[in-house]
Formats: sequence, structure tokens, C-alpha cells
Amino acid sequence: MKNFIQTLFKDSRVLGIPRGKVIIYEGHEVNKVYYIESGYIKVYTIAGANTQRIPFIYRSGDIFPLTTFLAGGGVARFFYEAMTDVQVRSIAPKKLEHKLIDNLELAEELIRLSSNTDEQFVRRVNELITISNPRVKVKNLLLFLAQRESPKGAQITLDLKLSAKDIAGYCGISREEALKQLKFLKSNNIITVSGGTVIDRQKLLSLRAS
Amino acid sequence: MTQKAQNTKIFINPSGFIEQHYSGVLAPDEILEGLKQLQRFAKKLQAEDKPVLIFQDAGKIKKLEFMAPKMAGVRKAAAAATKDIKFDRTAVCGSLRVQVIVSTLALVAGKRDKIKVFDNRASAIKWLLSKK
Repeated sequence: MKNFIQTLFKDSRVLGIPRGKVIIYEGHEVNKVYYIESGYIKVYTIAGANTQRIPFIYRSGDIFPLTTFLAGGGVARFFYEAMTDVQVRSIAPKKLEHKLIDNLELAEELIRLSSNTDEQFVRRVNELITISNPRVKVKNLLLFLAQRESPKGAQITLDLKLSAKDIAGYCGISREEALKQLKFLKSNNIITVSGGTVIDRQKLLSLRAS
Repeated sequence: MTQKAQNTKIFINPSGFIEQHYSGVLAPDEILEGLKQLQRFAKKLQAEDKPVLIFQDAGKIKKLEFMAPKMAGVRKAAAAATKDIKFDRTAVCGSLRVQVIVSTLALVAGKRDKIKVFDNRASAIKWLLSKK
């Protein structure tokens, strides 16, 4: 499947986007659909001054904003910002529309991708609402990232240094709480943070609520 | 003319457009039958030299495993129906997932300008019956 999608973007050049840059603004017209070659993109809404709610994080191999494009809305529902330096390819919506004409196979692949992402999105939002314990929230965030990176590995390395701000935004907790949880995770060697983040999956799975 | 299946029904709305409803948990053969009914109703309006306007309400669908292997035939039939049925406009009302499916099939058929998806009935019918 990945090769199929890569073929879609192969004619476009790779663009480097620095960490912290907002690629798509909420409410703006979507004038490009992106494929992530490397790096991480966070998707968020604004919940208050300096407060982000991050329902999803995209990684290499993902396409965004795919659901917005396929649903025909044309207007971004979220902010999309580079969490790390990222490399992306892009295609204009009109060009992608043209590629879909009489191409049910491509349409099915894109619908499948969109559905998978949306299911995870919904699961994430439900977790935000139903789970109150901050340690469990942070654990679920790390499990989500670990699962996407490597479904079975014991040690998972993310080329991503999670900040307390990002953890707070993703988990719906305060930055102080996020810092506290980060400190706990590091001191118990559940995660190691240097250039990126290394997660010990077994220790993480054994982690109980605080 | 009104026909009713278990989870689908189709009729001509007094405003003159075809109104079709999908609800519940849809089996492949129910969707295929719904598509056939739609084709019959559209042909009837065409034969009467009336505009073919379609409103589809998918807001009460409980489960739609559109990408499941058992739905392969449905996907192909839905794509073919979108292309082959000669209609002026189609307004669809449903969840985001329904919107993605319908809009994408509209792209495959090359008819994105004739098919719009909405999250409420009032907006859908307003667009369907508008002059432009």
C-alpha cells in the first residue's frame, strides 16, 4: 500500500519544513495535500491562550489533510504544525482529484487510510474525555506513538523529543502535570530522552495509574 | 411510488426530488438493492423529462464497514452507479465517514461538482433545490 501512495507523490519534490512551522492553519483553504517522508506533524485546535488540544500526531508515511480533502470540505479543520524538522512531498488538490477519476483502486486506498486515521482520532478523543488519570493518559500517548512506530519492538526509538507542552496538549493535562509525569517516566527508565525518545514498551505496559 | 426494504427506503418527495434513506446496519445486498432502486427512480424521472435531483439521508446508519472485503462488490457497484446514473444534483446527508465515501466516489465518477455532502438535512435540501 505504501508504494502505491508513494507513486502518487513521486513527481513532486521534497520540501523541508523546520520544526515549529505551522503548515496548515485551521479555517484556511486546503491548497496542498502532503505526504510525510520523515518527521512528525501535530494536529491541534486552540483551547485557550497558549493551550493546544492535540488529538493526533502524524508520522512518516502519513498523508494529511486527507479526510478534509476526501470529504470535499476544502477548509482545514485543525492546525498542522511540524513537531520536528520534517520532509514532505505535496500534491495540489486538483491534481489529486484528476488522478482519482476512474481510479477506484486509488480511491479505496485513500478511503482506507482516512478511515484508519479517523478511527484512531475518535479513539483518542474518547480517551481524552473518559480517562482522568494523568499517568494513564501519558501512558496511552506513548503506547500510541510506540505502536505506530513499531507494533512489536521491545525498545522503540522515536525521532521526536516530546515536550511537556506537547504532552499537555495531547493528554489534556496541565504543563506542570506533564512535567511531573515526564520526570517520573525518566527516573523509572520507562523513557530515555536524548536526541529522540526511547520507550521501553514492557515497562510502559506494566505502568499503573498514579 | 414508494418502496421500502428493511434498512432502506426510497420515494419521490413532494418537492419533486428522489429521497432515499439508509439506516441501521447495512448488509451488502441491501445497499446493492438500494442502488438498483435509485437507478429505477432516476430513469423514471428522466423518462418524464423532469430534473433528476437526489437526496440521500445516511444519517441513521449505525455501522458501515465500507472497506471490508465483503463490500468489494458494493464499492464497485456504488462507483458505477455514481457514474452511470444521469442526475442533475445529489445531496447526501451523513457522518464524516459517509461524507468521505460519497465525495471520493464522486471524484472517481468525475462528478464532484454535482454531488455535495452535508451534516444536516435542511442545508442539503436547500442546495439541492437552489437555482445555481
